[in-house]
Parts: sequence; structure tokens; C-alpha cells
Amino acid sequence: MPEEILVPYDGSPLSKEALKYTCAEFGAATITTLYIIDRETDKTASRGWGDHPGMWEEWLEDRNEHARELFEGAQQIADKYSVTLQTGVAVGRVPEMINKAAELYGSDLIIIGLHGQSRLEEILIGEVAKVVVRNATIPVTTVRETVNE
Amino acid sequence: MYGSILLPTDGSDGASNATAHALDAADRYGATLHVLHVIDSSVYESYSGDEYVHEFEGLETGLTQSGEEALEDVAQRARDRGIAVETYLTRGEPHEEILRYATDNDIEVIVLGSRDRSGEYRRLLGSVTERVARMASQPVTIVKTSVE
Repeated sequence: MPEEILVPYDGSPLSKEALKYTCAEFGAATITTLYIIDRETDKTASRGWGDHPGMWEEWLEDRNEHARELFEGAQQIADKYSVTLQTGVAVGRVPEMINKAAELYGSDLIIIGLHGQSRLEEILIGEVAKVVVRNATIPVTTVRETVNE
Repeated sequence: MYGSILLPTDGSDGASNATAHALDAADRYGATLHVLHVIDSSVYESYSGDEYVHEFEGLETGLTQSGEEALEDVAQRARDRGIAVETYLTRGEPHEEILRYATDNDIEVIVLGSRDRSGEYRRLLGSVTERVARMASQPVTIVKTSVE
């Protein structure tokens, strides 16, 4: 029985899908939603010359606030299954931090959304789920978007 | 809670952790474990027949036999634990046959084994696991086994 499940969560429809599935199937487990602040892929991150330490701090605070809002949304989803979520925030590259967090939390399963087809962006930067699967040492369950909704 | 779990197996050591995972899950949920072995048609069809016709037949017979052994091995382990088990041997493109079987048999989760090896190697080969994960409407659990 999976006891510690890690669900990467960024508020996207696909991450909601993964969370719903996790709550429905593994409500008895400890479920941790993880948000990753990734400077490389976050559209709100400043680039190049705009960087200075003060702005970085402000931006991190802003992203942490964003994460708290996302987790409220996640908890609303979990409430429908009477599940109380744990939450975590990490700063770094997304796939790498997912696997690191899984190790840190002692997770025994990662549940992650997977697109049916690669989008251009994913071909270019490497798809998160694919990289997570490649580097994970624990089982990973991939959940596809619901086709008929 | 799952009622039916599909474990495609090639009988290799890359499938051993996935087999253990699938057996545990079936045991825990009281689910039926479906074990599928696909003889990759591209393997035996790539040998042209003509003068080697006997070897060709021998190859397919050998693949069928090892497939049956792989299925029976898992089935025996399932029966020992009182798990309802069904086995199926077929021929074709592995990912297509896996997806077809999953749809036809109302499978709720597919458990796939994967050899833990360098990413480069897999990128070159393409991967049944990735195709199944991308195309299956069911959740797919990928369980790795480290091989050298």
C-alpha cells in the first residue's frame, strides 16, 4: 500500500487530474502536493539585466504566495474526497526537485499527469513527467487528461 | 480501489520489481491480475524466410515457449497467494497489443516494468513504456528494476 504519495501540483488541468485520481484511489495515504518555483520556466521570473538580490527575494515571496493560493485550490479538490493534504514548496528545476522531494519525504509513489502528445514546448525543454520517470527510483504513476469532459 | 490490473511482462529481469508491485496491489485490492505477454512481431518477421525457413520457425516457437514460461511463472506466484489471475499470449506490436488488451478487458491500471539504464540508450531505442503511458486512457504505473 503506498503510504507517502507525492503529487507535483502547479494548478494546471493535468495536475488537478492527477490530484483527483490520487485522492480517489489513495485517500488513506499521506498525500503531499508539491509546487516548484523554477526560475527557468516561470514566466514571471526576471531575466538577464533585471536581476539583483532584492528583486529575487521579492519574486520568491511572490511565488510562495502563489503556491499558497494553489494549495488552497488543491485542498478544495481534496475536500471532496475528505482528504487533508500536506504541502511542499521547492526552488529549482522541476523534474530534479520532484525526485529530490520524493527522497526527502520518503515517498513510495509519485503520481503525475502526462500529456497524450508532446507539445512543442515540451519537446524543446524536455517533458517533466518523462524526466521524472527516467530519474525516479520509486514507482511513478502517470495519469492522462480525461478525454471526455 | 482497483478491480483489474494489467501486467505486461517480457519475463526479463527488467520486469521483476513491476511483477512484485502488481502482485502486491492485486493482493491488497482483491483485484484480478491480468498477465500479458506480447511476442514482438517485428522481431521474428525481421528474419527473412527463404533458405532459413527452419530457423525462422524455430525462432517463433522459441519465443512462444519463453513467453508461456514467463506467464506461467507469474501466474504460479499469483495462485500461491490466492490472487485471481488470467494470462494471455499474443503476437504483434507490444504497445498496440497492450492498449488493445487493456481496453477490451476494462483494465483499471497498467503496471509496467522498466529497466533502469541511461537515458540516452532509451531515447535511441524508443520505449514501449512511454508509448503505453502516453496512449493509455488508464493510469500507468512504471516500476523500475536496476540492471547493469
